[in-house]
Amino acid sequence: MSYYYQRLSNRWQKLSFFEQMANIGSEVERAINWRGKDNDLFPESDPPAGGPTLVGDEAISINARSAIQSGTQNPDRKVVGFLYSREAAERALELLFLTIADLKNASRLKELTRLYEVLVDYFFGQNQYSSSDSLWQKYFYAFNYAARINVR
Amino acid sequence: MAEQMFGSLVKAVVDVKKGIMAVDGELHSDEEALLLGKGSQQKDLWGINIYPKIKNDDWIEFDSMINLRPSLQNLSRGVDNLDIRRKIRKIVNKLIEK
Repeated sequence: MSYYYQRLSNRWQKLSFFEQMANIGSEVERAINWRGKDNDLFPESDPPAGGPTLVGDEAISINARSAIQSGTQNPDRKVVGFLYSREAAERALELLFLTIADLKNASRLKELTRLYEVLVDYFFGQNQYSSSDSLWQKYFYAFNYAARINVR
Repeated sequence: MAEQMFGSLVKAVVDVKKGIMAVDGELHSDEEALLLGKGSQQKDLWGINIYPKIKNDDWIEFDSMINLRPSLQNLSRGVDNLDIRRKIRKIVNKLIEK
């Protein structure tokens, strides 16, 4: 897994717990949104001819990354949505990792480590805990609301 | 910039009154703080994500934790007011050459 928030680790601890969770929630929301856009990102495009056979998540990811980075005009619409969703989910886990490592959250470790496990299960596993998009949206919305309630 | 930072996207905060935009922050709140320090008003600032490789309207994503403002009746991470959305699109299209 690559690291997206390379400069953030030292500053992350200065954010409130609510702000930390709200930022994680933003990435989760993006992961959900891009997954839902699989079928309408490039409505006029066809999947590229040739290329790797799409077998399993990793092959899809590699194919999407290649299509985007090479500037292909008509990347496979499904794999682009998949890649953007996957990147957002990776960023969410990276921020959650920093949150778990933040000493001020020591009393919340049980919830945070469970959260990590269930997020991984939802975005990278078989969803054995039966999470849903709306469950995650409701869960993180509360933190976002709390983080911004005094903003005018 | 997108590939250096987050793979596919660039985070940005737009000041819809001044017509300016802060980019290249790791968090929207960093860019918000930068613009506030430059004299922007918080009510004018909106967080977006820019996907340079996307060819259609989805290249601008209205989604940021800074957008949720109960006091301004914006109760989502998106931008609920369509006029503000249009202003944001206009500013971004003016500032970024596709």
